[in-house]
Amino acid sequence: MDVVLNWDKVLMAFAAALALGISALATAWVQSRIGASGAGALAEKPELTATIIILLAIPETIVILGFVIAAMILLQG
Amino acid sequence: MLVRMSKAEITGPRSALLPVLETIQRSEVLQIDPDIRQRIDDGSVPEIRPLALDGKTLAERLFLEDLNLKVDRLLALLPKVESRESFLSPSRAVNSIASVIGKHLEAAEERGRRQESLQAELATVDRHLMFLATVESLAPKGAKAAGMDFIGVEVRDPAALEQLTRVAGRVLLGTEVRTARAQDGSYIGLLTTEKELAAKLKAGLHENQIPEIGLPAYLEGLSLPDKLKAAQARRAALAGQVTDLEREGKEFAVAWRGLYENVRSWLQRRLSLLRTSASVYETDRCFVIYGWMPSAGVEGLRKSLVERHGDVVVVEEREILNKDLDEVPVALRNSPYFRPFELMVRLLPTPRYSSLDPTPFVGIFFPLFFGMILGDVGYGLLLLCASAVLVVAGRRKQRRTLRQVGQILFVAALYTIVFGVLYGEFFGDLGARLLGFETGWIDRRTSIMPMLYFALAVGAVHVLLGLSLGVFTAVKGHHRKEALFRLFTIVTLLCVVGLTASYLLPVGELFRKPLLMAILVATPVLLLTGGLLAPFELLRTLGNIVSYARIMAVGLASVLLAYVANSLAGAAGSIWVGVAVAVLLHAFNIVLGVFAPTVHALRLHYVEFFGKFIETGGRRYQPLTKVD
Repeated sequence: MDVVLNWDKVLMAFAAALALGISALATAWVQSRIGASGAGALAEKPELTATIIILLAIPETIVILGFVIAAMILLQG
Repeated sequence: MLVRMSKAEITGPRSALLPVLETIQRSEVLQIDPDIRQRIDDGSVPEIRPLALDGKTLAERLFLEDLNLKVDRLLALLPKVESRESFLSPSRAVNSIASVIGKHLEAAEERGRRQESLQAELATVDRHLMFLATVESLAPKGAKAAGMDFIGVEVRDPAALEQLTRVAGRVLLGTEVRTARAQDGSYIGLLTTEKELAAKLKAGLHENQIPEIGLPAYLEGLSLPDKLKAAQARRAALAGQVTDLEREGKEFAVAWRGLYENVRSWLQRRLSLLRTSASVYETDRCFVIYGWMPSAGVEGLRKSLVERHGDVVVVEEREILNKDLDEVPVALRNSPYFRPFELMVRLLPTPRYSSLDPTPFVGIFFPLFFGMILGDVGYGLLLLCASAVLVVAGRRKQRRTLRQVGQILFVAALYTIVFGVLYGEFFGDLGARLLGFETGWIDRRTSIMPMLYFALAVGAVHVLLGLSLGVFTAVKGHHRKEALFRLFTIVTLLCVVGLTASYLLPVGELFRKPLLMAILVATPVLLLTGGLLAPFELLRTLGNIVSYARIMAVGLASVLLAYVANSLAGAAGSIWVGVAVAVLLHAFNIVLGVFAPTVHALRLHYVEFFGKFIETGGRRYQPLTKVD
């Protein structure tokens, strides 16, 4: 039995994966930088714990926006 | 809310300064601020100047500072023991205490020195004992040992062992090298050679810088078993001396620690008064104290000053000037429901007095966002139990923070249950699978776009509320241009939101043109009031609203994890394995379920919401207290 590829769907899935994957990588990279600097800052000023946690959460906006775009591609395409 | 503050000026006769300061200290309401004087019109009281302490007060301060140092040093040397409570009045006995503390301090320091030296000697004897015990285990016994000499060396690492073997072999063929691990983890090497050749071997070791373990004089000339016995006896004698010294120290602490702690606390109160007098002003006959205090406390302070010192001491409220606004200290006072949420506001820099207290808004929106993200009846019930445990554990005054965390978690757990009912979730879909619960109003797993619109709508409301509060604070602070900019940002934002909604509504096309026209009208006003960066600011605000999509995204991740936990448990085959898998994954999910909503809900407040209306840079209110 021949399997017919629906290229539209394949490309949409690929686009959604890229939207989420690249933004996740960007978030991870930024968080690694903030995490390393934050750990250094915490060693000197432990009272900054709350601020550092919040700073770490800030770049998660990137992956959340990526997720929203991916969801829109998949659900509205 | 921010407590309304008053600028107070207290005047009285110079002779009554210290007693008046003592009364103020007892009242714990006034934050003394000498800088207020710089902002007062100098023409009103020209002869006012910083207070110069008289010779007697200065001498008292120096004497007490010195005594305080000695008491601190002595208490640091004394062991912490249960001591008698002291009822001696330090103010009366201060001279007697000053005369004996020198002897006590000298004796305690001497005891400390002796203890230190004995401990060092004890450590050396322990090392010798360890060496001798190791040598005894390695050395040949009986006839074999006759005519032989033993040399002990320290071996720090395997490379040093190799060097030792090489040197011993090169210097004297036939030298036997044995090693053993001592109790502390280091290695000890034992070289066995004939007595006549020992000197040559020792010289070889010295040349190659291999450290030989030397023994003290009292062990010289003894046989190995006698050396062990002598070292053990020495150790016992030293340990006895250390115990005697410790007992002596404890006996002294039991007798005196209570008294010295009482003296220290009195000294700190008294010195705090004397140090505060440096922030006081004077005229030829009067002292003048400037400070900040809650307006509600002014009458109480006035009454207690008159009661204690008569009507010669006057408290006056001065007008708070515009140039004072940045310096007014900030105190938060909220209703019992909102009070625990002050914990979250205190994580950020203090807001200015001319700004707003964000605590009530955090109290309303934080648990709401938390519940929207987690939204599960089962998790909510578990969190409710955890919050009860935290509240009970935090009943003591020292654990106030723990109790506040428990109270916040309690409210958040209630919202989690409410949203759990709306979403129809009980440990994910476990309620529907096992208990036959009906699905709620909305299934988060499939309704991704409706949940996204819902989250964005909540974001729009929250950000618009923040901007409205920003308009209020700008008007309050007489910043008209800024108020206008924020107002037109709200208008433009409403138009953009309406424009977006018009694409989803059936008759939305009717609104598009008027909304576009409104945006066109608002844009020049935005540029005029906010400058060239106004469009970027507007884009940033729109980005802030989109950021609320995290409410949907993090919530979706949580519900999918719960669903996976239930599916894996169902596919396990055995009921016990299934239960174990479900418990493990749900436990993991609940830990994430507490951490992620907390961080994200806080972030939405700190970054997206507070930035619209809070001006930080305020000073925390720190009144003069009994323990300063």
